Amino acid sequence: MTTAASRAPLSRCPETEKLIDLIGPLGELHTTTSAQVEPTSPAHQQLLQHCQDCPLCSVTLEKMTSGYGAFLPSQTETPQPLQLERIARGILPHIAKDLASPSRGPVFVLVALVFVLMAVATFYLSRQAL
Amino acid sequence: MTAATDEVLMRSYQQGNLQALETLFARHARAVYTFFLYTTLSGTAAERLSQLAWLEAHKQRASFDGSQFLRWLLTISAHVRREHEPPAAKEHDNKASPPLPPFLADSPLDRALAAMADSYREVIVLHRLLQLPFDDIAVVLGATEAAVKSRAQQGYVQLAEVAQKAAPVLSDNNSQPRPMP
Repeated sequence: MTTAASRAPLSRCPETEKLIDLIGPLGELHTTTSAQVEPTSPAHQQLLQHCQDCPLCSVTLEKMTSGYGAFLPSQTETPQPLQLERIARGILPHIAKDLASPSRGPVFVLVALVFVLMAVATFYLSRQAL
Repeated sequence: MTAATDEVLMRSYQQGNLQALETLFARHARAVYTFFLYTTLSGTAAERLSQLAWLEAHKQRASFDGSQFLRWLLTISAHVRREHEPPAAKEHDNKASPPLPPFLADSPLDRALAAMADSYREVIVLHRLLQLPFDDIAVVLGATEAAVKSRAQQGYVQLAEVAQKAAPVLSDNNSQPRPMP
C-alpha cells in the first residue's frame, strides 16, 4: 500500500492523508480508468465527508473527486542532468570569477582619503602663503 | 557541507564560499528550471531564464534575509520571468488551443495545463509541482494569499473539468468544487 511517507502529499491535512492511506494505493484511487475504485467504501465515503467539512481540504476535494491526482510531479517532465549541467556551466564560472575578484571598496576609500588629505594640505599651504 | 541547511549555506555563500553555492544549486536548480519550464512552456526559455535567475540571485545575495532560501530564490525567479519572458510565451494566455510544448504528454490534463491562463498555471505549478504553501506562493508572486488561492481554485477547477470529461471517477454530487475558504 502506498502511504503518506512514500508518496507526495495530496493535502496539508493530516486527517486526509490518513484516510487516503486507508483507501489504498493512489493508482487505484486516482487512475481514471480503474475499475477497482469503490466510491461507496466506508473509508472513501469518510474521506469525501471529511473533505466537505474540513477547511484545509477544499482543493484536495476537487483533486480527489476529479482524478486530478493522476497529474503527479513524477509523471511530468523533469529537467535532465544535461540541462542542469548547461545551466551550471553558464553561471558558475561567472560567479566564481566574481567571488574571486578582490573587492574594490578599500580602493575607493583610499582614493577618497588621498583627495581629502590633498584638499586639507592645499588649504593650509594657501593660508600659510597669505 | 551537504548536511547544512539552505540558510547556513547561503550565509557561507554570502561570505564568498563558492562550494556553498554549488550545493544550493544542486538542491534547487531543478525547482527553478521546473518553474520556468511550466510557466513559459519552453525548454529553451527555461534554461535561459534559469541562468538569469541564478545570476540575479548572485547579485542580490546580500538581500537574503536568512529565512526560506527557496522562497527567496523563486521570488527572484518570478521577477526575472516578468522582466525577461519573451512576448511569444505570454501569447498563450486565454487561448483555447495553443501548440502543445514537446515536453508535455499528449493527454487531456497536459493540454488543459498548456491552455490554461498564465496566471493560473504559475500558481498550479508552484503549489502542485513545487509543493509551496499558499502563503509562500503569495510572497513569490507579490500577490495576496486570497488572490493566489482564487487563482488556484480556478486552475484546479479547469483541470478537474477536463479530467472528469476524460473519465469520471466519482460522479456524485461531492465532485462540485466549493469556494476556497
